[in-house]
Amino acid sequence: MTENPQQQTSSTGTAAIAGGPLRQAVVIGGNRTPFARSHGAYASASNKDLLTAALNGLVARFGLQGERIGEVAAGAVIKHSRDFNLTRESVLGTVLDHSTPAHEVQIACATGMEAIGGLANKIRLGQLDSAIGGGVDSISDAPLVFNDAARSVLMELNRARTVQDRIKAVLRFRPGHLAPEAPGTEEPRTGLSMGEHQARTTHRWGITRQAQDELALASHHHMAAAYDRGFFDDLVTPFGTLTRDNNLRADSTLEKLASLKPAFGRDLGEEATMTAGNSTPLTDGASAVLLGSEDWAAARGLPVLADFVDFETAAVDFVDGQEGLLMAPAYAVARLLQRQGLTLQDFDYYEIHEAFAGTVLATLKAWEDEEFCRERLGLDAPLGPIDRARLNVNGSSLAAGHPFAATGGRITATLAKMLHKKGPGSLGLVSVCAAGGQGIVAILRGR
Amino acid sequence: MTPLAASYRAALSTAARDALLRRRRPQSLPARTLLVHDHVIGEDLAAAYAGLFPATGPLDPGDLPSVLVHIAGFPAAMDLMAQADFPMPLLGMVHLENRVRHHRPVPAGVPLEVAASATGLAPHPAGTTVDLVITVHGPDGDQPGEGPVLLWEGTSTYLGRGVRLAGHPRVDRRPREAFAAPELTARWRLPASTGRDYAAVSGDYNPIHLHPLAARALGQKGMIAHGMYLAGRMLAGREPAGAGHSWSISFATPVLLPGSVSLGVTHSGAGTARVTEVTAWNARSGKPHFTGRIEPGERPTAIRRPRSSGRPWRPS
Amino acid sequence: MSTDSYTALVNQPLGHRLAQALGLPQPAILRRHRPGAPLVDGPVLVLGGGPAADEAATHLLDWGQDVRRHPAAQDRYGAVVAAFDDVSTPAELSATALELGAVQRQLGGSGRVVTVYQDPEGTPDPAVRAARKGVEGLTRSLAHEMRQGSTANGIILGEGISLGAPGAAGALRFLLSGRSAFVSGQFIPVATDGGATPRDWDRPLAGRVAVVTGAARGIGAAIAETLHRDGATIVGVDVPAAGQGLADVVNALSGSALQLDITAPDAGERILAHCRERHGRMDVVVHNAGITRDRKLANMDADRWDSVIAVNIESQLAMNRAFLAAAGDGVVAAGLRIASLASTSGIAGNAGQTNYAASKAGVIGMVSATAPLMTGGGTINAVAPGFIETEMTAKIPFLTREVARRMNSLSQGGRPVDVAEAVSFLVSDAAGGTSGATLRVCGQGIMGA
Repeated sequence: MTENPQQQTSSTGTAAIAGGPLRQAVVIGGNRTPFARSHGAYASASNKDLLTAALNGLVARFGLQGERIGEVAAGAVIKHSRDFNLTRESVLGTVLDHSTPAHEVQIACATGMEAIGGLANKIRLGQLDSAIGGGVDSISDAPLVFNDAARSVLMELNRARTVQDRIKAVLRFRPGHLAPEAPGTEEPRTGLSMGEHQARTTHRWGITRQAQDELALASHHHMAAAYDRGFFDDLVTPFGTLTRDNNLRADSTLEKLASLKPAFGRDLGEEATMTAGNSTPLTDGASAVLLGSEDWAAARGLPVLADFVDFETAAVDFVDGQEGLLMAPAYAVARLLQRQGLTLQDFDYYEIHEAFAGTVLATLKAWEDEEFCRERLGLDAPLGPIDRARLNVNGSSLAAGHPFAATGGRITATLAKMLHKKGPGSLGLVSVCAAGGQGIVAILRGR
Repeated sequence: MTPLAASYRAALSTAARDALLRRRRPQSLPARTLLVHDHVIGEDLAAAYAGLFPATGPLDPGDLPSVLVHIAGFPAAMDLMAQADFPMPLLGMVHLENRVRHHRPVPAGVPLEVAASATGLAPHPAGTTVDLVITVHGPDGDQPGEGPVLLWEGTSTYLGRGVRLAGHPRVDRRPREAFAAPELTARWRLPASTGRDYAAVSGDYNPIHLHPLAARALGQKGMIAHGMYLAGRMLAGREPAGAGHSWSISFATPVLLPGSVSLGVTHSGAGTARVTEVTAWNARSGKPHFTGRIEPGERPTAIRRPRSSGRPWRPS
Repeated sequence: MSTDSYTALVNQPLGHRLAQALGLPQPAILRRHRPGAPLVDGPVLVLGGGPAADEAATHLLDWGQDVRRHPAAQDRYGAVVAAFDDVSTPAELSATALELGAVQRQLGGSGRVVTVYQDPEGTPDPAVRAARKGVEGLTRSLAHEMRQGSTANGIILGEGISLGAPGAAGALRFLLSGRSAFVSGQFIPVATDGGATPRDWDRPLAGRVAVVTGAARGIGAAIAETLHRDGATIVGVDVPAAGQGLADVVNALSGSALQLDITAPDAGERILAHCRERHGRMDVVVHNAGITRDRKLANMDADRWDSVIAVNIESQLAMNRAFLAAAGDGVVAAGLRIASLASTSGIAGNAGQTNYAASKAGVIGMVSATAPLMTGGGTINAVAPGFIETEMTAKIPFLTREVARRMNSLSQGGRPVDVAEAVSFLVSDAAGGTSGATLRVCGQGIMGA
């Protein structure tokens, strides 16, 4: 610990933004709450409660009490309008120096990755020495919204100046106005849920039920094993009644998974393959990742797990089914590899967010598909297969669950720790798909 | 312009008179063309229309959606059909299809000239069809002596069920092709208020869209969605900016409200040859609701638009 | 923490009269240490004729105390130091003992009696050893006779160690202060002249990095808080499942949290790595983490037995091996100080706690055997709490709890901070002359007396 918590910069030389060289943005560590299936363990916790807990756990792990962090960026995909400054409000609930600035980020399920990537860039440019990126989501805390008709009446009532106007406004109320609009994962332009979308993609790529169930099973088993050997001891801080992700089923079997009925794409009849077992449930939770310059970390005796090398965002036109809703990472990876001069096989670990088992498998298949790589990615040759033994080795969202904005932080911290253990120069690839046909991918390098 | 409600009232009274007097309808179409001058589509109406399709966001008031233009011309067509000299009764007419060429952008706040005429009486296995043609002209073009520019023309085909006109041969029912649904790309969940909401914007208060009992009284299985609402939703977010496109929609079975419509959208070709085809069906019954097609066409030049919509700008 | 509302009641005028009338115990509200507060409330009377009396007076004057060498009938004393360091036969106890008795009623509330004598084991002479051992008996009995929150404890000077030694000064100051509020009838052996007196008695651990296991709640949290108050930087350790409480504790103390199962084979290494990386040093270790799995031996299963042994003693042995191996490596202080939590159950035994008592008696054995292995002036000691008001004891049925908390000379349960104060003292340089000892914090509980 530094003796002087007020010390804010440790930059040596000229910042890149001022003409100096780029520097590394390093991942120091992370923290998250256990993830909880929605309407369960965290039913009474708000987004702010969860994010504050994740931040406070991070502060405790790295002794950041009273520290002024350069910037905190996080977000929630589903949040109350009153939480317009959710991240700042959460920071004010922590023991960080209250002059730590914070801002909101939102790009659906890739929110955490965007928050972390954007902060890493600022660090590399010399604009920040330290940062915390993350995200939170709680379906249990989701706002119930008045439907448009009711809202129009309420707004009119609000604007009414005279008693008569008010009475007139009130008389417009109809019982139907009381039906709230519940939050969902439906794409606004298609009216299809993410699962329905993925069901088309899974079907189009011919991903079998068994392949999906096997991936789901591996996720559960890998994560349970990781918990048992203490891998998550310095990545997760318990919250409320939970000490582990409660979606995790260590005792799951292929037989149990095979017995589940299709949950998405039921219109495909016999060819429907996506079940509640090989799809991620709605989940509540929060995560946070501590980033910094090397100097900043060294000055505080903080570990340096990995460099945050680069990240790339892509979007696909999914609206009329031209591309699968969750296929954007397939595109983003191609661009990122090209920029970094790497091949898909250069990585020691692959962290591909398991929105659905079908998402991961379709993405892998697409990278191996010559026509897709040529026609869609504009490549001469397919990106090729990956070593499946390096994929999601400590489990992923199928086991942990997926509180939308919190997943990027979970993956980044997990991967950084794995790369650090693997050794300096080891490479990891992150791929996170998101609603709206978007996705963010990133490369981390072990230290 | 005659308000639509008045048209329905006129149609009702005509129907009543017909029934009472056992009068025979005329056997040919009136040759009249109904003209409406200086019709302005206000920005308020445009905003209300946009509110029907919140997922696709606000409109460009300088380039209104095709169905909103149709709404502007629809009362004139209704007026024509509601009169006693129209060969088939308005009430109970079935909307079969629409074909629209949207030549140029239609701006809000600009006086338009709307013309409606009826044409193409034709036999149909279930009765007789008629085409209602609406054209919308804008102000004079840029070239000297160019005259009002054709912005939009649309043809709506209606079926007068059971109407048999003298001299028309009987047409046999074609065997119905088995319907195979394409890949699902979207699903619309239509609440019970869909018809009422669209009626409030379009002025088309045909009772079959408003209340299940009224709809049943008029021979429907229940309250159904406006065909043009379905067309509007199909087009929302898919019309090219700057117009020049043409589109069509062909209705098969009505969409009951509240209800859910499955859609499959496919694209073929590219650039101006790109064709978007839409198939809508009922996932439960497996029956098609409609098919549609959008072709981008050549992008034309936009017409002048007054800077301020405060004072009506008149063509000289 | 459960609230001892009875103690609060009898400290009200009406409650006091009621308790008196009914002949019920009348626990006092104990004087506890607050930084900046006077060491003792009132003058300190020093009795005895040996060198220890003079040395005590010198210390007290250094500490700014009002020192009296001769009793006066009108005086009310905050404390009495009775030096018996020069006794060579039991008969010689008489003068100082009787003087002490004569002034006992002049002691104020939460007063202190500290006897000083030489280690009985240090002499082969039967008369000398009898005399020295006699001081022990006298002190223990006097402790039973103390009223109004007052205590009596002793300092045992090792062979050739005077009360002038830093460790003896530290023990004296601890026993006089509010830090020893719940320590009574106990003896602090000062065997060497190791250690040092701190620059600031209110921050004896300034600049030290202290690892506290089981820091998420209860006594562990109190230890972390107390060590931090005394100047230490805290590394809080607890099982991952207790992480939320741990984070709250360390965040309040500007420490760092290490979620770790101490029974993991590499627990010691991981603690060392954390200290090395984050703080560059490790000065103090407090083995506080412990569990109970109570069951009479006849009903005991292997899981209950083994888990208690594994957590409460085997883990400490394993971690100590790692720490001792690293002592003086530039990270682990050459004079590493270890404190380990034992229990009065480990001394006296307790029905239903064969496994727990085995582990805690094991701790007492472990510290005494480890003490000679400590290098560079390092020390290792144990603290054995008696009945302490914690979430754990709050779960004891009311009547049992009420009996348990009154069964000591102070007629009340101790607080977690009382244990923490003893720990903080034992891991400070001021206790550098004491190693391998077990200090009871039990209000002189009758269990194992």
